[in-house]
Amino acid sequence: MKWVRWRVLLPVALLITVVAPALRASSLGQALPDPWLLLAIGCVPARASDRLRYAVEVVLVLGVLRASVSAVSPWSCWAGLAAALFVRERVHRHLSEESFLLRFLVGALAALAPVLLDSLEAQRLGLERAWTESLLGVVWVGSFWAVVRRPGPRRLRLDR
Amino acid sequence: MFLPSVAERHRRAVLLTVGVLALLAQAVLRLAPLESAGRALTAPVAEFTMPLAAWVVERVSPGAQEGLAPSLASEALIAAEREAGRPEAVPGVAWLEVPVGRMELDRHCLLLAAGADFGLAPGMPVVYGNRWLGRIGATGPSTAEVLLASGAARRTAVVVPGDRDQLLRAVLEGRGGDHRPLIRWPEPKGEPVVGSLVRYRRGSDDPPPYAGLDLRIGSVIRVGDPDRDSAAWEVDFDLPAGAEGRVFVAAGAVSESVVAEPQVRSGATQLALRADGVFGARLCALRAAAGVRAAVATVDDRVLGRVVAQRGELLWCSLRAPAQWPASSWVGLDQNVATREEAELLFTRGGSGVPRGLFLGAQSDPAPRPVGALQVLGRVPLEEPEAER
Repeated sequence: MKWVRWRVLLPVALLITVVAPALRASSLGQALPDPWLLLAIGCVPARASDRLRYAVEVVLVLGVLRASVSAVSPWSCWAGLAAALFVRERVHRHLSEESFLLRFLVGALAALAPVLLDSLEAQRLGLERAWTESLLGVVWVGSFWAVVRRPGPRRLRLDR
Repeated sequence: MFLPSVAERHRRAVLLTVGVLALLAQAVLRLAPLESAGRALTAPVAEFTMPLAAWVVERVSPGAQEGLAPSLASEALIAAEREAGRPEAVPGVAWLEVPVGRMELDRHCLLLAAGADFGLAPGMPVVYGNRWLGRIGATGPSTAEVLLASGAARRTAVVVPGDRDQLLRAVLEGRGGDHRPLIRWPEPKGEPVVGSLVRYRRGSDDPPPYAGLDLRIGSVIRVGDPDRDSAAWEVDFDLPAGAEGRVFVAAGAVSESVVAEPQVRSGATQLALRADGVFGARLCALRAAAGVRAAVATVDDRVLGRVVAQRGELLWCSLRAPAQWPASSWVGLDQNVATREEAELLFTRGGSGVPRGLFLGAQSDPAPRPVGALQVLGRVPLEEPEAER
């Protein structure tokens, strides 16, 4: 399963990395979500510590790819992705998956650390970053998690 | 399904917490060795991804530049500063033109980009146009300090019109900080006229030709309450905008060269990536020769942007419209050098490694694009003056 995932994940991550600067430079680029964060959130299971090695590898690879086409420090990329997965796991354990709002809350809380780190990085680089960009980043990840984590039909669940 | 024990779960949770906190700490605190290691790990991947990303960016958003005012060479600002700042000729006095390397206004000092090797010595008067600024303080071989008249406990001999139609001889004493300098010990007894001009007076240590200098320092302001015997006379001393670029130093004799130009390093560079993966079109990546320490990038004699990050050969440059530069980083050129915001043409003010007088553009210009002949520039850092103060 893991190898299949990497076979899919690595080309997708590379494609995202190559396309991201062009998307960001477009007129709506600043309103788009962080693709590496969405990919990390989407491909690492919610209980990331159960597949710790895989989660660490994903954070490492996506962080390197993100830093390779950006002025952002690689440590900031790794910290942001790792903190997002960590917060998501911690919060996810305690909240029900049944409610869209609660799933959105889990995703939004997970996105807080990377968004804050990006704002800090922008400040360091002397760039102006509107607060709406940060807010959109949080909303995107929250919405993404609320949609992809939607529970299936109750009759098909193993833990019913 | 394998389920780890409770102890194993707790151990993992603690390890994860510590690991994530350590990563966050490094992201915020930026320990230099770890930062270098991280960049070394990223560099080989960037060699592969950046050209591909650049190819995609070029296909999606071609970088044609439109609507820019024609470029002006940095000589335009220098010529304006020279015209506004050169004092009138006085018999027996020669003027040395010296660029300002750095402003230290909290200490009420300027650091000049020339020193004893250029003929500067402590005590020489420093002026800009018909304005008295101060005297040379400590000097080094290639740098010298200007002690502005407003600095704490700095005294300047002055004359000021008195209320009984006589000229009062007095001493101007700087107070440092945000305080204006005070007029002290007027002779003969009398009160300075409010609003009148305070002028330089030859001091006892100054050579006789300096008596011909007609230099103003500022106008008189009255503070305090004369009915309570607490009145004082202050002088509104300020630094002209052009004096941030170059000043003129009075000398008795000069060598062949009377103009010192600051050293600027420059190097050719190539565009690596027109946009940033996280911050979009606000940044672009340039590739310069290894070891180049640059502060600013230019394109076709116009400032492209400040270099905000450097990873080996890769330089990240911030792109912004001239009007979006902070007011503290530009000077305007209208008919005179000015810092006021109505000025149409903007130039770099200098400082933090950025050379002064590079053309930023017109106020209404959009952010420049990295299309054309690219170059990176940086000023050679100044040495601190070594002589006793």
